[in-house]
Amino acid sequence: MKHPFAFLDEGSKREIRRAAFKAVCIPGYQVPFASREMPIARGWGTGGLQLTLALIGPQDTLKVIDQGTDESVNAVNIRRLVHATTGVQTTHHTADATLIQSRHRVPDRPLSAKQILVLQVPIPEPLRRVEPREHVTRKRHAEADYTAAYLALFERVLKYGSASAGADHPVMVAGRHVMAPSPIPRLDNEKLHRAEHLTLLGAGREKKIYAVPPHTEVHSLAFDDVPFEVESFGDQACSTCGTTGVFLDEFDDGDGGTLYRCNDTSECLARLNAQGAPL
Amino acid sequence: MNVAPDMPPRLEAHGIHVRHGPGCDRCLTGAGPEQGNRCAACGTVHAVRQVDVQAFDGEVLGIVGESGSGKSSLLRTLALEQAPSAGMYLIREDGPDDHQNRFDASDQAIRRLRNETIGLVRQHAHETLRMRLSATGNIAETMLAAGHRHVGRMRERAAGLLDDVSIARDRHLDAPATFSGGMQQRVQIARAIANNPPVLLLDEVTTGLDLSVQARVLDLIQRIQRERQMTVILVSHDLAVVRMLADRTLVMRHGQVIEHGLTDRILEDPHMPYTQELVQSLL
Repeated sequence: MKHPFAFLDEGSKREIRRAAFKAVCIPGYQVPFASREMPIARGWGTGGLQLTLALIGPQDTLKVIDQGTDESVNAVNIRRLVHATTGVQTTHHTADATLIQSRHRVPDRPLSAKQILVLQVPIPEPLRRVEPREHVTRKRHAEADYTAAYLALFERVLKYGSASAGADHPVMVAGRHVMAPSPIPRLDNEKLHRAEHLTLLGAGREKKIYAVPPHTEVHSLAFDDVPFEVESFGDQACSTCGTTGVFLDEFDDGDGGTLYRCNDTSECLARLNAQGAPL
Repeated sequence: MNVAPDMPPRLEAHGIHVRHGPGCDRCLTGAGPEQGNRCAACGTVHAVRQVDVQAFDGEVLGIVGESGSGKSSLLRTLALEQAPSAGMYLIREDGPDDHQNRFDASDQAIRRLRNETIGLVRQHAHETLRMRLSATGNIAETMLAAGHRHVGRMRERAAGLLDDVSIARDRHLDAPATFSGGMQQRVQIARAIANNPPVLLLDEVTTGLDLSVQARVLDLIQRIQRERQMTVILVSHDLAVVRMLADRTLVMRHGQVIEHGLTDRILEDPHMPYTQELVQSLL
């Protein structure tokens, strides 16, 4: 069966690009779009994939990340699908990519103005946990009434003693819209603040596209007496490349201890290569 | 009663009309609906008809009437929950909007009024409370909405309010879903007064509670009203509740106020036949 370039028909791509343009114009605002049926199931990255397919051109180089790795089955399948329908080059190297589709991570290496990051989003509505009704959350955004977002954090403080628990910590974008940054670790929230690159976020199941344009103010929500905190691994370093201050995965070392390793595997490898370590 | 006589009213509403349906020449021009509050010609229901309400500082105003008499519709409009078909509504805040018709206020202004100036307690706690969040969180919500961003201070104040309404300390972090009906009502009251609103609106707050719990909730309302000198408007079909709390009472029927006056006068010497029937049947 013959597909058009990048699988989607031109009409669909144009609609998605329009939604993306609007999203860039109103940073943090969730633009509705007509999410297409894709060859992968909704909830598996169809929002990100549709953005990738609508944006990609023959000159692009694509990188796909799933929770920090290029090698997991989700990343491999999406990369293969895009390659099979476009023939574009793919890469594992963050610096070489022009377009990066990612599930729940912003790469450790700072991105440049020539790169676009596409994030997959399961639940785009930051107020959803407290307010289930869509017509109500839309009104809350329109009136910039973000009580519900703070209430969710307040409850978290009551329960866990800290507002910073888990991923997908809500952010205020450009001083106007509260946005779900997708379930990226809190360390990655700070990479969106005044970034060089454009970040586009796509939720296929929920049919929303939103964006953080370059150089946009992005602040994680917090209280006066309970500040926002990023993940801390103490003084632990990656056991493979020795880096600190990045998001680490925890492994069981087999002796009841914990082994830490970079979550961003391609960057870990790049650091090892730079150190000239023998493979 | 401890009304400051020289102060203008805290609340003042004129000509409130709540209409469900288009209305027609007959019911809109003078003749009025002919079957209770329903127009015989066009079927339009006139839930509230040309009602005036005034309430002063420190005063408790009761509104009684049978089911469908329009008392809850009237309270909903006074709580700015529902816009009336017509009417004028002034709220004294000693601010720049005191002479503005609050029915015409923007959504944001109405949200602020409902959060900071008018506390509302409903018959069913689940319409107000977030049953799965903690009681403390429920009270903090109104403070968050008023712009507070200090967790320690909000917790302290929420704990003080919950103490005030006699919720045990070890239940403050529990969800209202796990509370009894009377406790839920008390949490609702604590939440309604969290931002120190000058006005408290109560819609059938003790209906459905057993008698001893009713008495405790009414005591609590009376104490809070006296301590804070709040303006309270109380809707109930239960004349005993009105007798206990209200200084003045309006009697409503078919969407209209048919009689108003001091509560004692209304209960001891009802003038209108309907009020006489009501007092006879319920006491």
